Amino acid sequence: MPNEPAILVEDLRKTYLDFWRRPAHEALKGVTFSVERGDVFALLGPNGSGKSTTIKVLLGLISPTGGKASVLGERPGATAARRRIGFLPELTTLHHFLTPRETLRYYAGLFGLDAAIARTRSAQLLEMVGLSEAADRQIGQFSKGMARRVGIAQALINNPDLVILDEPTSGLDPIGASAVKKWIGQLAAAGKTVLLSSHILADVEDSATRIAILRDGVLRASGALRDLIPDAASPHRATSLESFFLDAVEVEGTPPIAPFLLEGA
Amino acid sequence: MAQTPRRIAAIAILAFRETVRSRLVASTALAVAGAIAVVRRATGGTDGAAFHNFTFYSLAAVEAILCVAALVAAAAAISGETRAKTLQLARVKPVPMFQLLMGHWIGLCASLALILAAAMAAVRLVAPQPVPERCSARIRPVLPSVREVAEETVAMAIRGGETNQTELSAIRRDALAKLPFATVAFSPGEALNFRFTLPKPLDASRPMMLEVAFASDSYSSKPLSVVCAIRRADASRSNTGAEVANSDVEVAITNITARQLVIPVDTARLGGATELALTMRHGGAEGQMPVMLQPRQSLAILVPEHATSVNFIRAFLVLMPLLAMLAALGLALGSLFSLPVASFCAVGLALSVLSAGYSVSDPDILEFEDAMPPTALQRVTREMSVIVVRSIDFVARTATEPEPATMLADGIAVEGAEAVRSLAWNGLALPLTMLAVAAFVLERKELP
Repeated sequence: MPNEPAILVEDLRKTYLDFWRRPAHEALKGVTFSVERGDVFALLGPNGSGKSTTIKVLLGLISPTGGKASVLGERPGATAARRRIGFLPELTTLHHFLTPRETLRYYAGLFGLDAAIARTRSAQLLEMVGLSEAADRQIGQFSKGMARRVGIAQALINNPDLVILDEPTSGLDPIGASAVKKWIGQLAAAGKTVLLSSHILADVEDSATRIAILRDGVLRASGALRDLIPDAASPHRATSLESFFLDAVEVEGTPPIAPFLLEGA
Repeated sequence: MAQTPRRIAAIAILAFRETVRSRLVASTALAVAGAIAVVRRATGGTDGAAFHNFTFYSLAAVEAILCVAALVAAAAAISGETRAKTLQLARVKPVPMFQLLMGHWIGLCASLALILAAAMAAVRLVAPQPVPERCSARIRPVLPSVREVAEETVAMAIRGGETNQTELSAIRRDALAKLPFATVAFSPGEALNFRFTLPKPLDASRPMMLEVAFASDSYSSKPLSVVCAIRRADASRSNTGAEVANSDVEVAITNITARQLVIPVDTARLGGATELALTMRHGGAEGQMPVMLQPRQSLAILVPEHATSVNFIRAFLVLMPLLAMLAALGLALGSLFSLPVASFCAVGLALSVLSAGYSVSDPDILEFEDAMPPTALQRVTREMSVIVVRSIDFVARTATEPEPATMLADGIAVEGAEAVRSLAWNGLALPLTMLAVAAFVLERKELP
């Protein structure tokens, strides 16, 4: 179904239960949005707003308490959908004793890719993330940013149609973060759909075409960036996005600093 | 279709590398090496008992260490993946959980196989001399099957007027439990006859042994004696075609107080035989105590079989599937629970198996003698507990028999069929069932 959205979320609800199966925390309270094919869609929101929960539901890692979701026309977690998804988790969770090259070949193996294709793609992705020189060092010896680059490379090993990036620039230095934004732009140019979650507005200001803002499991705003922020093209767009975001999540001013910090020694 | 083996291979290689470099495996290998060294030091000497003791105790230690290691390493592997969230990342790839668990299982089995092979090779190489050149096949007498005899007992009860189905079931169950240990007694002047079927014609150039243990030693203060006569029962022709006039080979056992007797039998007149008949006569005078024997437990003929080294290889083929089964059990427990809970379950299972084995080994333990008739609830509870105990014992016994450590130490041949059965049951049927159940649960488990 080419006209079907890449991601469709309708009235999605998720309540986490405690040990005794009693409702403990309502993470999503009826979220609805859709991501069209070829979009770069950013899920924004402060910590604990439900961004990662939404992503985990879409990946089939957790099941929703209510509502509906579909990914590439399939139910979340369906094998057919998983074949076409690349995912970068919030925390880089890789096997520390493997090298980047081995890691990429391992994940290529999980997609059942032929050894020759796995070799070629691994080399290309390692070059893309700037780790060709360090391809045979154990990931355990890597900095957080280098490990993050390996994580990004593994998310792309299957040449996915949909790339889901949870906090993609977390742990990256400004150069790395800028590179990630550039890759997102290139993926969009190649016709891939990108769903990224972030609380760093700078991550999305250049690359996202559409955004959704979540706060406490509720969708506060959703739409094309240029519609939500009319002066998105202006030099002050970052400030505009920040004000829009703060308005959407209803943060009223910054709480005052603890008084003892202002007292003399 | 080619994708499935590729996926499993990728996971298996990763699991193998992860296991090999883990501290648990390193400490297991060290523990195994240490156990072999300690047992070797403690079982010095040059007699046959030194080989027996060293082989039995060192292999028993290796088996125990590796069984625990297989369970713990497997449970830790999968619960570690869950904790480190690498399982979360694997689950968003198009890998069915069964394939993921299968890959882990293969990787674990490969590392366990390496340690077991090295340990068994070490036991064979450092075993005290002389190492027996060949092992023997233990051939039991041909007796009616326990089930047949049990049904006969039930038929007798029916002929005797018993019609109550519950009573008949109890009689059948009782017979099935007690018949394997049934004792026969023969007094002076009486004889017992047994028949043995050999798997291949007897080689007259190799020694044959009669293995027997009597159950009479504690009942008599005077020495008892038994005269055994062994003769060909298939045909009265030797392997050269000549008529054998008198093929009886007599063995006199004058002191039956020893726990287990292994008596060499001259095979010169029995060469080529495929059927042997044994007659055991009480050798004492009138009025002496009867001699008692459990023919299903403690009577056999030992016939030379393959080389001892081949026996080690076959023992490996029996032991390895057991470790594979435990690795699958560990993976299943690790998939369902956290490591501490999985370990707790594993300990609980081990204790259940041990206590069920102990309960079933003594038929009286599962009998309930009451002064008052039991209530319906008591009866149901007892019936249920007996069924559970017997089921646990059945599964465990099927998985753990034969015992290669005992067989290697006793010089008893591990049959190829036993290796095949162990491979089919422990190496495939049980692990695949456990992995399928674990995969079913893991597919549905939330990984927040």
